[in-house]
Amino acid sequence: MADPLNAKPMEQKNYLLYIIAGALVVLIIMAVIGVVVGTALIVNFQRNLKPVATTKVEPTPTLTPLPGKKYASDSAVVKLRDELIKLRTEIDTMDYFEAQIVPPSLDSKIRIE
Amino acid sequence: MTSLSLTSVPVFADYNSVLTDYNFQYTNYRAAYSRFTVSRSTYLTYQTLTAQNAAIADFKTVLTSRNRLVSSYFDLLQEKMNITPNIDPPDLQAFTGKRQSTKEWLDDNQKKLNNALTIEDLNTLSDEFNSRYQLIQLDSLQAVGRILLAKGANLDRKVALAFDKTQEVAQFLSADGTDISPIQRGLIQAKIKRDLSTDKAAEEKDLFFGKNATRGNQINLLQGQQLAIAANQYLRESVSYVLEILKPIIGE
Repeated sequence: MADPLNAKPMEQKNYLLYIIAGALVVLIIMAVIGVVVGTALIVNFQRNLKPVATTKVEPTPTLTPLPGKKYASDSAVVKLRDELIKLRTEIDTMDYFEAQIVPPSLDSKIRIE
Repeated sequence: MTSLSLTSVPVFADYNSVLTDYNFQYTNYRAAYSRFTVSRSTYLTYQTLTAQNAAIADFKTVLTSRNRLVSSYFDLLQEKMNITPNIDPPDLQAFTGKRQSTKEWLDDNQKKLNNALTIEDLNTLSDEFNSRYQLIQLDSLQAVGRILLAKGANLDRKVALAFDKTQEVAQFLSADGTDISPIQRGLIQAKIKRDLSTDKAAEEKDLFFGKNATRGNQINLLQGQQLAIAANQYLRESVSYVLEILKPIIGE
């Protein structure tokens, strides 16, 4: 026979079960939120990280072999260079706004009325 | 190898004397016009016989000085065309004909002017000039256009010669065992610039001698000058390319 003094009422047992179940649910929700927020923070942190500078090895351009100063005193080449410089100066100094040949400003309607 | 002729064009004494005369006629005209405006104003205000006689005298003087100025200006254009290289002989002859025709018209107008006695006569003669003025303007602006185009064509011819000479040098270097591919690439770039210059010169020619000009529309001289300068700039870039090609060859 059950001890009537130790026996808990049925309503009190149910009440305890509800509290334990509620606490478990709250813990689970908090754990889920913690995981989500934690993940977001980690991702954001990684995005804000500055990229580490890397050294790229650029290919060295292959230079066309130049004749160097072999023709520096070649009369034909030097003469051509000098003539081109003169020609460029002539182009630079060409006057296309020659004021002398612009038509004179005339008063075409000269009348007394 | 062909040699570039880069000597500047000598200015002949004829051009200088004509220019002096033109400047003299211009000054005379401006002074005559100022006097005319004063005497016209006096006459219109007081209507006296003395004021009328003074106004007629100054009216005659200003019309005469205007005729002389136009005649002198055509002489100036003729001399300028004569000393500008690369003007085609038919174009030169065509302008000579227009100049002759203009001077004959001005002479005829001047004869009537000398015999004019009244303000009405002078008004009529001034109106005759106004009717002729559009043709005078067209002829003179087209002459200026010919001069501008010839200046550009002269430089273009020299640039073409420079290309030929650079090509000759390249062949010489190639025979000497030098890799001339950079020279060939540079020449292609230089020729592209020269082609752009040719396009601008064609636009300039169209402005002065195209349908719009011959339909009696006023030729925009400033626009023509700007096109000439654009063509000139491309020629300059073209020559600069060739000079850049030569730098490594000379070792600069």
